Amino acid sequence: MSDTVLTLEDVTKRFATGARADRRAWTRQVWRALVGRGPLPALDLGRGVVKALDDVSLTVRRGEAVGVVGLNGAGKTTLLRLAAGQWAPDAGRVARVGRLATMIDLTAGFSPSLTGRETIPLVGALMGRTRAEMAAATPHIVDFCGLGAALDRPVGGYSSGMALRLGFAIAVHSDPDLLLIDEGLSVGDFPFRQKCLARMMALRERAAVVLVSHALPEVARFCGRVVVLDRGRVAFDGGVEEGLALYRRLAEGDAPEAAASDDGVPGFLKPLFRDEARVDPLAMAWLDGQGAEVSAVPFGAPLVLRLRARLRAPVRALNVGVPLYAPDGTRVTGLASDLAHAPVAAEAGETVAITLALPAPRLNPGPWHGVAVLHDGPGTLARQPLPPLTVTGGPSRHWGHWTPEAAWTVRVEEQGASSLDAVGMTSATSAPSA
Amino acid sequence: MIARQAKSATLRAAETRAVLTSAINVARALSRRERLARARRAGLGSAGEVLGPLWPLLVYLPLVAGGALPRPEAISPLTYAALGYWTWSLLVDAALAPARGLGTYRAPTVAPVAAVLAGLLDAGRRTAVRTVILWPLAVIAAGGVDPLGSAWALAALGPALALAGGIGLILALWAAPWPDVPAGATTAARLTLLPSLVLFPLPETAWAWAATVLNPLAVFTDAARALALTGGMPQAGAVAAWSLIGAAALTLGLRGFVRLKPRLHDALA
Repeated sequence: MSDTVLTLEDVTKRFATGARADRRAWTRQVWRALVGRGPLPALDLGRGVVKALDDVSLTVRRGEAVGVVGLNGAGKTTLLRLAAGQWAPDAGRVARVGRLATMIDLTAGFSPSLTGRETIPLVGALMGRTRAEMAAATPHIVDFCGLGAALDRPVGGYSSGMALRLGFAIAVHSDPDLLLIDEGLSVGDFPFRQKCLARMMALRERAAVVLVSHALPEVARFCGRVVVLDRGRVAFDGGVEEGLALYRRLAEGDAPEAAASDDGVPGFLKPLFRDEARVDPLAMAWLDGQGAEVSAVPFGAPLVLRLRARLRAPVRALNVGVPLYAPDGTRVTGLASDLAHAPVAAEAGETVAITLALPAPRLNPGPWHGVAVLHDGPGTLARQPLPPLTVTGGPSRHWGHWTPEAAWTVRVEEQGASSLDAVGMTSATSAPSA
Repeated sequence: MIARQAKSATLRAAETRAVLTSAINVARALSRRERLARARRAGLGSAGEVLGPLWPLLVYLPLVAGGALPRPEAISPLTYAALGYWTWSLLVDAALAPARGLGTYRAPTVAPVAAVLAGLLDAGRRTAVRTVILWPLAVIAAGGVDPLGSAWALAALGPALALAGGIGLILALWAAPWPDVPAGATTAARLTLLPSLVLFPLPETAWAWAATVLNPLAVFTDAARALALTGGMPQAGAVAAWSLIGAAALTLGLRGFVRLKPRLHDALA
């Protein structure tokens, strides 16, 4: 049976909004600690107080991977630091069992003038490991981080990626019972990231993991349970899909209660967004080959997406991305205007008209989904769902999400004969042999 | 009931021991990191640390020899200054160590107990270096020390360290939100070098006597040096009074630290 590794019971944490109030309160608290009797009251933070966590309870057991998601300021990092014992709760109780490892700041404890090799035992000791344990772990850390000769150079000369690799290697070789991660199961380049993920999956088997992240696919793949924090409170604690769906709705600005209701927009299209100060709602329509607005088209027929955006603020590098999704949420393709057309500049009050022509999309029959994402350079102005579109007709049998235009040649080879009967067929009227 | 209470007390003791052991390991790592990093950054490397304790003597002894500052009567000026500076530095370092520890190692990942211990380890290392440099100089210049008196001198430093540690803990607790306080306190402590009977004696006047007995640094520096060299203790009443105050300060400081320990990270953040 899984044993409990981390317990938070009715935990509340507040912070003063101003540094002066905080410091005055601290001086009073020091005086009480020195000469007062009885237990110390919670720090009096004065008038300007913000509750980072409000009455939060959470239990994590060995073998569990819990993803904690929430908007910025929801209390995720506060929860992690309380769980790590770095901060004390103002009310409630935090209890931990076993060895703790944190991946909150991977380069904590690094000194720029020390070499990577000198850093390993020092940071290990800061994580509570003994000299003998670090001596045994060091060859594995050296091998894992793959920094080679660079380990004998001062870490001050490392690139940020190299420093993160070293920090990650030390953290994941600390054999924890509880691992607290703030953003990111992996660091470095692609091959190293795969190595990190493999190591994390191994750790997940024997430790309890709490992962705070905004990377929802990472949470979905790694965690078996999701906690959604909203303004310091637990808005949801349960299954991954439901939790992430709620988070996406929160990201769109819905209250948790409202977010629980179904708005008809598939979860994989979210989060939706519009910067109201910069752009009006996007006007979009699907057009057929004759320019008529449609919501259903025959298989293979030409399609045009028309998009009009009235700007409320100037833009410097406007471009559009349109990912298309099958009904099951699979992203089948994505089309980006800046691959074919340079981003455009426009002034406030102007309307930008954009068309995306698909001469022969050959999407398989069924309902199709997508979003139009309007960018100004790297920033997003709006992310809105496309109008409904259903593809009808098409091949009598089809597989997957689209059927490309193709030609078949089927022939029967006769023994000793060099000429063959050949039949050419298009894919729309043929089917692969089972 | 009694058995349960005893078991609970045993568990608490084991828990405290585990926390302290872990904090000591972390403190050793922090102190080692700081020492290595400082040695790499220093222009003279480790030699700078060895030369450090000699600078005040090199500055003040020529002034004493030249008559610009009062000369000790029965003791060689080098012995007077070396033992005085060793004692004064020990006490000032002990008083500033907790605040320096919390200031130097103020990271969310470092427990405050470990940070304070690391500060004390740093202070201990500096004291060890000063001992190796200054004591041989003092003993050679004096032509020997009184062994029994030296033992009494070390015993007298116990209450002095309690006073320094107690004041240091209280200062560290109060100063936790202000990272610049340890630096300011260091500067203030340097100013006490001159009126604390460290490098040269004060004239035998009423104001000098009052300034001495009201200054615990002067009281303990003078007492320890006199005990080590002659076996006699000047200002015995002041030593006793300051020792009592030291015990009270240490009790108060430790009480405050234990009570505030869970909140220190909030103040350090």
